[in-house]
Amino acid sequence: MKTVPGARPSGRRRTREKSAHRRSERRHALLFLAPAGLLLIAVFLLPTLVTFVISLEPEGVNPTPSEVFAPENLSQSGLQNYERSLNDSVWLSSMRTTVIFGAGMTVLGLLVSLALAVLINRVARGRAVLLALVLVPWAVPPVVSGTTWGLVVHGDIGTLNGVLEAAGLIDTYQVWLGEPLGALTAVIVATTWRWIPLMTLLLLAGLQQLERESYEAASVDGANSWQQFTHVTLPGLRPMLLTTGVLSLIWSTKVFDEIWVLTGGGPAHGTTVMNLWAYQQAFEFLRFGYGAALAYQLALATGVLAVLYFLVARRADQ
Amino acid sequence: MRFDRSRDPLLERVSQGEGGGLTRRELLRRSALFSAVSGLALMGCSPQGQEGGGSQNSRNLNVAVFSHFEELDRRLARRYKSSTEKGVKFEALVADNHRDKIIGSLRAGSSPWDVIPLWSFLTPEMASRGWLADLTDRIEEEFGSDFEQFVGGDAAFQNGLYEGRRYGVPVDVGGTILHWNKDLLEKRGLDPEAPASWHETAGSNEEFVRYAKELTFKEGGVQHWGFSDNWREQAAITFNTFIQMFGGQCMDLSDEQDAYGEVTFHEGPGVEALQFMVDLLHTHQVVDPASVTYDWVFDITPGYLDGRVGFISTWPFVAALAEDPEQSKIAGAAAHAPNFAAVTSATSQDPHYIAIPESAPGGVDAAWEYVRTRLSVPVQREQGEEGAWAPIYKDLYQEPAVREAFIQADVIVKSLEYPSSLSVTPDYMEWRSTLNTAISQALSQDKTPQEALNEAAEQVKASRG
Repeated sequence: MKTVPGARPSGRRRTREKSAHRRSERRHALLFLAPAGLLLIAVFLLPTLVTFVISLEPEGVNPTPSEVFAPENLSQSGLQNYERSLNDSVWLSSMRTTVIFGAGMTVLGLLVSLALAVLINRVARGRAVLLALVLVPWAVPPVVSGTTWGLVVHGDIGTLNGVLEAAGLIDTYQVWLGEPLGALTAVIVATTWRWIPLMTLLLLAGLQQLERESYEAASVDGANSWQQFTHVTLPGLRPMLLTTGVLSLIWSTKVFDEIWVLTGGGPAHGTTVMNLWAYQQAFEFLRFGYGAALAYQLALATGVLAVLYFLVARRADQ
Repeated sequence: MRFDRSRDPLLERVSQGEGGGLTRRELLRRSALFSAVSGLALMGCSPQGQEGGGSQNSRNLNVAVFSHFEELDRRLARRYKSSTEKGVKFEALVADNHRDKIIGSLRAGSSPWDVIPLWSFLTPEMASRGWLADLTDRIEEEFGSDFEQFVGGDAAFQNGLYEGRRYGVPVDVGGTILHWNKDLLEKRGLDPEAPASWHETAGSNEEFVRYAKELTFKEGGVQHWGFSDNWREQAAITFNTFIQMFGGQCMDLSDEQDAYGEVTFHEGPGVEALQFMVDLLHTHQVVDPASVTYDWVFDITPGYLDGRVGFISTWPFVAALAEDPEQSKIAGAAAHAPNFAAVTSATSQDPHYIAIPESAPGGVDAAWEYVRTRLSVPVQREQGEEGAWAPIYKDLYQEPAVREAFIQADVIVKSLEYPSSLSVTPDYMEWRSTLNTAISQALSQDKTPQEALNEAAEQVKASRG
């Protein structure tokens, strides 16, 4: 049918045009999203998949594409690396160390962060300066932080020893990093110090959402500061405390730099966490398959924590 | 009034693309496609994308060097260019993380370098994975079977062996030697020259302990220690020295075709060696307790150079440091000699190596020419005259300029006449880590030396399958 210039298109034709228009828009959207998508596949999905394949392959396979996907290596794939980890005493003890490290970092971090958040929340003048000071540890690179704390707890020239001896609390300098408990405590303190700023910010945000009326009502009822803290602040802050706590546990599974610099995982694997042992297997001992298998197990554990965080956060929203 | 696109002939033509006009949507579509194709084309044109690889600039050799050798290598590049007409492009690698950087490239199957530096103990590890070029025939062609021209004979080349073939060459020599503070010994009523001859006397390790006890005291609030060492990640090096002193070795590598050898560090001499370390720390209490947290040589030198530690056993270059008044309070009072002896004196030799990657972009032949230049007598002489890193040729130690620069020349040569093996295997990094853990357990008295070493030996055997 000949189109008359200027004539309004029919209803059916308008519908077809709209569908074609939408299809065209979708194509263009996909085209523009393609680079980001390819990047995501290249730097995340593909390495994740390849690493999983490596974790299933036998000893001695180098992680080049030609070796990973070589038929003779694929045909020998199995769970041998995962089975091996069940008998790896260092891996099993690293799980225990990771839990202790995570719990220590979380408890210490929450206590200090809560105190700082309450302080900042109460301060009217100079709050910006106080906040800036609190944020300083976050700006310090992890390796620098680890090295500095290493000097603080140094057995021969450490500041901590000097202060304690001057205060009469010790007679001789202690080698804090020379035994597992002292070393683990040192890495917990050093790591927590760097994460306190972020935890403080989260708790401060939670504090600022609490209703002033609740405090006024408590004050009218005769509650003192401590009672207001325990009966108003803490209950009101519980969702954020839980959220921050779970986040802290997730962060603790990623810690590497401070531990590596301070103790290298010693003494006698006393501070070897899962992250570190997986790294050593893959990059120090060049057992790529076994290291990949350990890394996947760690990712699984972190995934469980991530699900926990999701549930806690959703409950907090509700 | 609502705008009716259909009543505008121009817009109607644009939106329908009539008359050859480029619509906005079409322009955007073509731009996106062009960008994507251009990006792919650029990737395909990059050097890495080319078949067969190879340096785009075939006149340049790409050489990675340890940062502390960079100046010397840059000077030798002129010699290299004059003989080959090839320029050299350098990349300095910090010793601490050179392994990570090199492995990162080699395991991807390509090397950006023609020549690479290595700690000697890394050579079998890389050779076992096919990452290094076999240099056996070239070394034989260059030196024949005359290894007597080298300090310590064939010893410095041992760490480059894998299944009887050679994959790396040393550019210097040196193992740990004994350093001591003569003024401190004299102050405590000890003979400051006596340690110089301990290496010749079996059982002098007991005399060393006696001296170390006298040198452990507190004065004016300052604690002095008889001995300090780095017993965290480097504990296995000290243990390796001591086990050879007691007549043993960490691995039995007598079968050249068995690159992994047999674990022997848990046998008699090993237990004696570890017990010796435990006794120094706990029984005699002559070791700075912080030694268990010290990781490398620069953790122990401050106490020694400050005059608070009587003895250390470490690399020869510290002797030059100790004589520098800007860095040392004991300049003029520092002395050095081969280590004391139990059954014999011993050392742990760990020379700097250079090797050629199998995937060297310029080819192995071109890279070998550089290696030959690096090992040539004139370059080694220049290295010796700098006084920092000991040259590999024995004869150079008789030259006045080298002797003047190298105050520890005779000691280095003498120390390498004693057992000096590092027991290097392809899994050296792993078993050394296992051994470090065992040493740590024994030093903290969680386990006896025998228990700790037995457990470590079982772990090493299990990991080897």
